[in-house]
Amino acid sequence: MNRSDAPLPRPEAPDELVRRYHEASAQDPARPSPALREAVLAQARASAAGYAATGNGPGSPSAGTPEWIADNDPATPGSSQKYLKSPTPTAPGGRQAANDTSWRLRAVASVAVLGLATLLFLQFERGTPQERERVSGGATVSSEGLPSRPEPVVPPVLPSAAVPTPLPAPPAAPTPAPVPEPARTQPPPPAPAARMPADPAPVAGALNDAPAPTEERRAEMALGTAPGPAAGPPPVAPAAAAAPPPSPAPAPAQAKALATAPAESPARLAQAPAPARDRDAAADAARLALAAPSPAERLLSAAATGTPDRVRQALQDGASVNAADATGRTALMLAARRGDEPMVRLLLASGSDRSKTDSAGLTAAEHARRAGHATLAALLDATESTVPAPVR
Amino acid sequence: MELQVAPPDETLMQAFAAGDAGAFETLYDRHQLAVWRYVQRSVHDAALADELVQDVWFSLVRQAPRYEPRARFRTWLFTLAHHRLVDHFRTHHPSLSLDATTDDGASLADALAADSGFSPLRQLQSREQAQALLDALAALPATQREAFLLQAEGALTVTEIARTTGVPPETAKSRLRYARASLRLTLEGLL
Repeated sequence: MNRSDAPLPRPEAPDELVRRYHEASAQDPARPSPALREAVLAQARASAAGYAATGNGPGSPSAGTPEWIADNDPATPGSSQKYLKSPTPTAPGGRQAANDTSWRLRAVASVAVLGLATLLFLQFERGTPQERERVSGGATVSSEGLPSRPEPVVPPVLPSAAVPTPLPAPPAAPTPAPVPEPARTQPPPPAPAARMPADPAPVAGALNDAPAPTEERRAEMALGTAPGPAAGPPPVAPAAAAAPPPSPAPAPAQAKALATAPAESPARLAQAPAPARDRDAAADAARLALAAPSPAERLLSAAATGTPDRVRQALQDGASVNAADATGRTALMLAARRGDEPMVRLLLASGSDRSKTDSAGLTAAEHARRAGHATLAALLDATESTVPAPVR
Repeated sequence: MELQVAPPDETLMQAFAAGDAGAFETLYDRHQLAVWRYVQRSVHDAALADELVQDVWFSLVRQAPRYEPRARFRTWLFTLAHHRLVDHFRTHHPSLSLDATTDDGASLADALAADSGFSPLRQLQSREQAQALLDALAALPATQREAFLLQAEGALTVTEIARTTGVPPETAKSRLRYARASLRLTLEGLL
């Protein structure tokens, strides 16, 4: 028989070893100090008087009493381990923590919460000023993933004639509220949860810590700059140019999957199915809808949202038809990405340069082709003379 | 002549909580040496043991109104003492821990496996032998020493030792077994 399996002696009947120990202890001259007994009994007498006077109430320990406390319930392992060296007496029923093993659980939970908060904050920091403004401004989000602000798209400096008419084409056409320029440069307090359901793709991209930002990410970053040549993000990865096959997966389900995906590679984003592209267009619209109200920005916003009246108005207000966002995308490219042929025709008729490329080196035709709009891509590839006049 | 039965600890504690100082004195005299030895053999310093044990009794006095006899008084008392020791070691000797969950008993286990049995222990013949046993106890790992002291001084069961020290019963049982085996080996060498 293994000796480690031998039964332990019952403490009620001290075994030989314990007896030997007590024999040895009896010969040990070490004893507690008599002063200890006096001090303890004096304390007990004082407290007993207090208990008798207050009807079993708590005593009033003297000022010199050590302040470490222990729970009085040894029958419960969890609670019996709670005690604390505290400078103040413990209230009855109060839990002490210094020897509380549940502090580990609390520590893990704190670290998890801190990490989540940091992740959300970093995600917020990666956003453009417009996105931050959108988050802090409490913009409501429609079911199509577009902000649904009721304010008209009229910058404060424009005449009242610029009020747009109701828009027919795209779902939930965004109408960004005019925002003063300084407000866009000040990052508001983070509230990233407000933007996550509105645009799952950037969320998935944000969760991906790949060194180079995705195309969608760059599009987001581009919105915070004035129209003009591309500046900032590096060229897109070659894998991003691969045209994806359509997928019958419904957009909401995919959006949910993307929102919950821990990481999203650029190549996977490039291979997003058709509903994803639609969502991309909606995301473009949503992001551009929040752009600053300069004419060029309004032009880009209108091109991304498919509102020709606003495009015309922006052009009348002096916007350059070839104005581009920070990623170099022009209004023509944005319209091409959505497959908005009337808008493309309108922009071409207005003098948009179809040969311009964005920071990824893509022309409007290539954007259309990537998005699966082959006919429109062919139209954009055609010579200028073959392009018919805008229908509208 | 009528035989008087000493009241149990739990009754005395409740009497003290109701204001009976004499009940506490009885309790104190009944357990003070065991608690003191438990602490003193853990810190190896009589003066320090006085200080820590005073804290233990003060704490017990302070918590008397909240005392409920849901477990043996002795278990509670030694739990308070254990907590005080843990607090002391955490404050003054961070490298030592009475609530460590690991045991340094592998080599001892090997020795036990090679030892087929113990011979009956004879009475300790001298003061030197007694001191040698206490030295062997002091040389044990802190967790094993505490388990043995809680059994020898506190008369606690394995379950109560586990509850007092906040470890699973199997851990407490293992610690106690290693401690006892080590002390037996020491005794066999002495006798």
